[in-house]
Amino acid sequence: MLQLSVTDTGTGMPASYLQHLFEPFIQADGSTTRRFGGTGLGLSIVKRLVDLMHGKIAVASVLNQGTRVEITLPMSWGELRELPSTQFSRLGALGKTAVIAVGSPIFPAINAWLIHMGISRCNDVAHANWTITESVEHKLILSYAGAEIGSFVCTSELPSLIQSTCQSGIPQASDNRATTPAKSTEIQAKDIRMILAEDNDINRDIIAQQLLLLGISPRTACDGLDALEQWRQNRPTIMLIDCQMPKMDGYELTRQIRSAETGEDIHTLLIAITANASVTDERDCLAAGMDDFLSKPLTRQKLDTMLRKWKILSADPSTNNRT
Amino acid sequence: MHVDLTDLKSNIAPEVLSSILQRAIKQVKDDAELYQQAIHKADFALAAQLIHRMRGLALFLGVSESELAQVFALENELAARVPGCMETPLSIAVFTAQFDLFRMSFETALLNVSDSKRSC
Repeated sequence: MLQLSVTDTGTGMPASYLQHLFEPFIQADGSTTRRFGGTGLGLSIVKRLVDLMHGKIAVASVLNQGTRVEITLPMSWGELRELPSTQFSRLGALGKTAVIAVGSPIFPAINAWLIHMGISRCNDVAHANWTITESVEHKLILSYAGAEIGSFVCTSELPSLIQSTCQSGIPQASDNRATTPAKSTEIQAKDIRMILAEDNDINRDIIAQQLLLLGISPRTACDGLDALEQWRQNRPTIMLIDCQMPKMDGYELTRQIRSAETGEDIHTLLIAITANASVTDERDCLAAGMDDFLSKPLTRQKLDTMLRKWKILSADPSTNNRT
Repeated sequence: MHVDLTDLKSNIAPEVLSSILQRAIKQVKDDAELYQQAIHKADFALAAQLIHRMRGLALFLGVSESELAQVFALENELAARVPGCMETPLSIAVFTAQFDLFRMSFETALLNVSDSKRSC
């Protein structure tokens, strides 16, 4: 966790005002003759940014004494170069490699984007997932397995190009050099080990029916304890976890699994399913250690999109679907 | 309240869907009784869980989020109550009435789609 704290000894704010603090265009003194300027947008923007980073913001203030703003952001220690930003952590590029074969001044900008996406830079073209070169027209070219994926002028276009490659499949073999489409190394749907943890038997049956249509036959668990026991016994590839379950809720289940995984070379993909679809709920899920978030109802389309996003299902729909 | 089964109809066999609807109607009745007991015992956490469960079911059966906004507010209000804290008879009556309104609307919508499926 990263905690930021800012304290001032200014005018402070009345308690009645604090509850509206994060609303846009709000100021303690809204009169036209007020002493202090500003639009009243600053804190609402900060709140939005903190929410997007899955953090929390709290304000304490005493009138005529001052104000203290505290921000808590879920972060962990790591090598600076290996830290992907939250925004790009779901591209599916984390841990992949790229060669940058362009010179200064564009090199640092591309390097920064790669770091943002969790992609390591390497010098060996033979073992890199991507190469970035520059054409004679000064366009930047992204290639994958020797084949050109696309060109770009502005480096900010790089993430979407990288993502398009991820979605179409990156080979998972130890030799990262891509020579064939990823299909041959992807898991067949029938082989996916999935646990569906949902306490309401009707909802569980509905989700299981949708999954069967995608070719997946999940094991089911009716509460958090049951799910944890099944996880220990079966070590699934992926779990769909209802956040609110009896005996042990989805958040605690996630924490227990992540704790048990510590020191092991495994990472179960944990996807939350919840009837509450707010930013706060998503933040709580991610803070507990879940990888992603699905809101109820879980339609076949939603499940399909999520499983392809995490490469649980093939990028080619015809490979997995049963209709 | 409107139960929209369009998505489920395209993915689930009619006989399975019919069975799901019958089970849903029974679950709503059963949970309504449990809710009454929970409210009168001031077990607001359980009452909130039962609403959450029923709301989740409604979402799965195609009820829109906007139609569930009021009962979601009730769920949050009950979840925020201090455990075991006694409420006034008026509060209990309000909690009961708000829930009944939701339960009856949902139950009626379920019965309607269930009947229309049978007549098809």
